[in-house]
Amino acid sequence: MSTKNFKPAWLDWIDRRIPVTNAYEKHMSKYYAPKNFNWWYVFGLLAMIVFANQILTGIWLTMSYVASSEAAFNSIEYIMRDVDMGWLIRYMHSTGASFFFLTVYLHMFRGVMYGSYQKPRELIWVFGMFVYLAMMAEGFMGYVLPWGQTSYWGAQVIISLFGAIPVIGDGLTEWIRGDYLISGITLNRFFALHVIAIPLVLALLVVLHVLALHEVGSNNPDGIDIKKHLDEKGVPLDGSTRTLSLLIH
Amino acid sequence: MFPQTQDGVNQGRRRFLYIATGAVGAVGAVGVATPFVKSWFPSEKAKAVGAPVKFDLSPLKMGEMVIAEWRGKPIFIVRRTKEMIDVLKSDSLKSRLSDPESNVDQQPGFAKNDTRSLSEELLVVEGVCTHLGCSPKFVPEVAPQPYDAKWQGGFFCPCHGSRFDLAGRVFSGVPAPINLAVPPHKIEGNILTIGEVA
Repeated sequence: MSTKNFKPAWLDWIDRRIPVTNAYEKHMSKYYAPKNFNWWYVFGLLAMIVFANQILTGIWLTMSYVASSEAAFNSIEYIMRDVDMGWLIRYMHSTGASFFFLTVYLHMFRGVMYGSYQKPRELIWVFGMFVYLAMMAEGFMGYVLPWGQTSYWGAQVIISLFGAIPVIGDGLTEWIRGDYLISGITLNRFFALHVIAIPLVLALLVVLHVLALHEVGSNNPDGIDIKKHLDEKGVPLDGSTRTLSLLIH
Repeated sequence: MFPQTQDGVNQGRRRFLYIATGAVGAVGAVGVATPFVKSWFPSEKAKAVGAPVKFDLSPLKMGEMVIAEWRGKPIFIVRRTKEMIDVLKSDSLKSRLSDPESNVDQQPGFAKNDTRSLSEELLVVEGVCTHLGCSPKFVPEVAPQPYDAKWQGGFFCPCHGSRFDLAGRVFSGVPAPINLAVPPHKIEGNILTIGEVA
């Protein structure tokens, strides 16, 4: 048995029941990324880190936020003034949201610049577009939750967009609001969508995005298909498993 | 009656079963989705709060405006004088309006006339600018204004300068694209009911 295949008994026990090592190797330790990566390829990873930040700070915010039209604004003031470091957690969440978009825009620009949406990576692009849509919905609803003036009028303008749809527009806006005007009913459903529904959808889409990427492999500035040039062991000649160090070297 | 392949599979029957199973599944999916979709419509409580409101018109004097509230929106109620009504019917005013005949569907059928109202005297409009939702100001005076030298009375929106006449019809060349909305309403004697037509 070579040292390469050595693994502790407990890990072997787990691997016989669920393929942890296999998955880790496929997606992390033995995932070959092109050696000619440049800095433009870091933004997907950064977006993922920001997403994790949003989840973590978001969970902490729900511990002090009250989703009701009477109490929402006061609970934000409570977070900002009375909760220890609550201001930091809230700003990490709201500024994190901006950074989520910033990283994703740079990530998209990279994709457009190097044609990363082309065959065989069309589905990666499509999943990414759905991620972007979900992000916009998530960001919009998060903007409404503090229930201040900007929240209210933001909700007014964005929900009115759906009113422009012929025939069903008016009924649709009423259905989205759950009322004849933007009210606590609207706030409560936006809270549910913001903290549960859309994050779940986002996480699922990110998984699909990455699975699709790892199936075909990453693009690179020169458009080399690294899976076509293998050495005698079947290892891509133009690839490396040390993706992060490629970016940092 | 059904073609069979050599291994004895009845393809026609199999296809029928696939389609039948799919159809039953689709019906089930619609059934499951129903409560989730329906629960998003306005609740009974929201409907009660948004129910038609009654308004006593008797204290309202000639040329004055009062503001009622219906479904969170300000409702402007104006008792127009004879002179105001004559202005609304004049071609000199209509030629400056964007939609003088109220062709855009912003009013119940009964209000598709020069005064956009049930009775010529009484204007009932939503006080929500059709540009970005500000509440326009009531400026009934017939006198030159900084925003309109030929002002003959109407509504002026201070947010972005949209102008409307005393029937809520929008002037040409202002940011607001369409006339103010006339809510469904009915009048019985001195009682105005907003949210309901006769």
